[in-house]
Amino acid sequence: METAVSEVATKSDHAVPAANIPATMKAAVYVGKQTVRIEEVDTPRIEPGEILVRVEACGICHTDLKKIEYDLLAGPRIFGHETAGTVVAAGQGVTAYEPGDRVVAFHHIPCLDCFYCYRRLYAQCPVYKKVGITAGYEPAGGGFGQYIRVMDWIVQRGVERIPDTVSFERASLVEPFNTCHKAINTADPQPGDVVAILGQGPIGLMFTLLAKRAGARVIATDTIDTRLALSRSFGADISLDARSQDLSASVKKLSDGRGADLVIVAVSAPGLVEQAVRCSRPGAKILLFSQTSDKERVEVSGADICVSERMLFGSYSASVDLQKESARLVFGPEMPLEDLISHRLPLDQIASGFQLARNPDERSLKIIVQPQRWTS
Amino acid sequence: MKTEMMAAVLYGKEHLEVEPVAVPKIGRGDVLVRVRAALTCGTDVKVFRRGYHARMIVPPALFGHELAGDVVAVGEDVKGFRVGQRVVAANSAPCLDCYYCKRGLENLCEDLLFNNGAYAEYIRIPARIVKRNMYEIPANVSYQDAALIEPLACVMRGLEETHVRPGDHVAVIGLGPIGLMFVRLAKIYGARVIALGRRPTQLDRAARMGAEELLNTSTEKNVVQSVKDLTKGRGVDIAIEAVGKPSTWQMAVSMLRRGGTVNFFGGCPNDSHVALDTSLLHYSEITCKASFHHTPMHIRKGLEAVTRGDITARDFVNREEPLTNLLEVMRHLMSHNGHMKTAIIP
Repeated sequence: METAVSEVATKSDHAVPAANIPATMKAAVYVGKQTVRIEEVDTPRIEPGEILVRVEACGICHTDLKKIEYDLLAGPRIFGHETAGTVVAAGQGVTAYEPGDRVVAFHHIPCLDCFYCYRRLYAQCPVYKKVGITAGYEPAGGGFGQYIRVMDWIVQRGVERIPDTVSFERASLVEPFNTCHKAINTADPQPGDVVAILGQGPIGLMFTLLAKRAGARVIATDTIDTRLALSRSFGADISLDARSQDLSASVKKLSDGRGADLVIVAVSAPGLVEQAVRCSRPGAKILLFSQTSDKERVEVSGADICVSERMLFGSYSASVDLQKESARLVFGPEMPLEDLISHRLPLDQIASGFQLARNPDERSLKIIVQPQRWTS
Repeated sequence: MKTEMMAAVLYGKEHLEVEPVAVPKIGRGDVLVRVRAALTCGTDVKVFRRGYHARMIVPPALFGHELAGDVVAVGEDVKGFRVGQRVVAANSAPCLDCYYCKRGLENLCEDLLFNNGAYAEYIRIPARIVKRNMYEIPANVSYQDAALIEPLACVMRGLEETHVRPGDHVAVIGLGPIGLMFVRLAKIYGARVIALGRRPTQLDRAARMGAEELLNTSTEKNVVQSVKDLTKGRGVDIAIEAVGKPSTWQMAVSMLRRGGTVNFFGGCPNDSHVALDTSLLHYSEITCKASFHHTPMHIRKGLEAVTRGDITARDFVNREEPLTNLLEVMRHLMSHNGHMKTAIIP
């Protein structure tokens, strides 16, 4: 017992902020009214059981864009939840991590002990809905700040170590990859199934990799040539240009006139869910992955669901059950995920990153913010 | 049209003759096929050695069941096929009307109609198979590729029945053509395959088919422990026994993780018995499955897989022989392990 106590004490000595942790830091703060401002804020302080991480890379996610564009959550908040960085301080009682460890951290982790957790519906767990990482203000992920405070229940189950050979940028893909991994397992495509994936942004391309991995035949659609080309190198058997082709007719032609067995809607655009239904065969499954805003309405024919016996369902956020396997796949050589990263931006250019993510060009895919970098 | 042809007749244990017989007459719904490739199968070798099969063939009978060829005559009621078409036909068709067929278990049909006689110049494809289990061969698919769909359909069904999922560790024991098909498909389905075989040549083939780990069962001291060591001490999610021996059935069970599934794919000799550790089965919640045969859906899936190029004859057929050499081929396959398939070209 004596020994154990003294070990804890040693760890907590580390927790005293080291000289190289500044008292204030820079962060991109959402202040409301669609406005993000770079501000100087206090560096977060940690409590027992928590760790402080210096953020090295944080991906921009479309849910960040929606939160800002539709003012879904009141400011001020610091968003950013696809986070990789280095542990710089470990609070009292933390034994699993110490300063210098390179880690990714998930901002949502379930309790594993409630009605929803027992049913593996982790995203519906009340603890999961709380955000366990903050760079200040109401916890909101914090990855768009230079340091984050990772709270105790996240430290216990939501942190994965990054191997030395893997970049922080690549590692930051573990969180979005895990959300796709969970969704594909829920959708459960069977080998030989025809899976149509609408949208080949970073998420759609991850779905292409995962559907291919499950032995499915993948039809990928997008409106950007480079994304269509990349989808084929990611394993899509066929890519279709949604600008010039009648998608449902093309998908049917490629599936003996039937339509796809599974359609994954990996982009949010008006009329897209209806299009997904038209691309699918009777009895097919249609997965809504990108319909995260409660402002978005979808219209489909009831008979296309009822009479044609289709199943419309959703998958949201990550699965703690698949977290280690997702990390293994992202960190390993199997998946060409490096090709997804198109931009690495210093923190002060985050607004242009949001702009680009909202209006992707021929080159842009995953846009990653590096909060330790600063140009102006 | 010839009235006589050369065909292999199986008379009993290790007894077959290639002899002149009448070209089969076809009924109104039947099709007559000129066989262009008939593949040897481990089951044929087993039947040749044992002189019987539980369900598939009762000697004396025409022999052989994996075939592709050309349509040379069609009965008057046949729809969808015409003379000159390249076709592949499965060796059976279910009734679709019995207790089992209505539950999606067409492979267990009470009235499963088997068809043998592929080792012959001509074979009659009975109406029920023409309707349910015969397909035109796509232009880019060779006769030998197409003839693989029957064993492939059995393997696809076997793997699906174990509910393999991407990332699963799958051990395949026995690396004959069937075992290698399991390796290849499990890999395509995203699994991480541990291949167990007795010969370096088989293990090399398994590596080419996508096995991540190879274990030589004739040199490895403790095979089960080695499998566990490769899976963090847990054991594999799925084990496939593709040998057909009670001892390997037992080995397959003992290398599973808790809650794992074994598929006893290799059929053992009649009256074989296997002793299993009941507390392992119970407290580790082991699922024991066996898979027999195929269904029309899987024949179709097999053809799709061959058409995509997932499985090609190049990897599974390594010899061609004329029909007159069949007896020699069977004797050779019986006495030598580690062989792939031979294509008999009648």
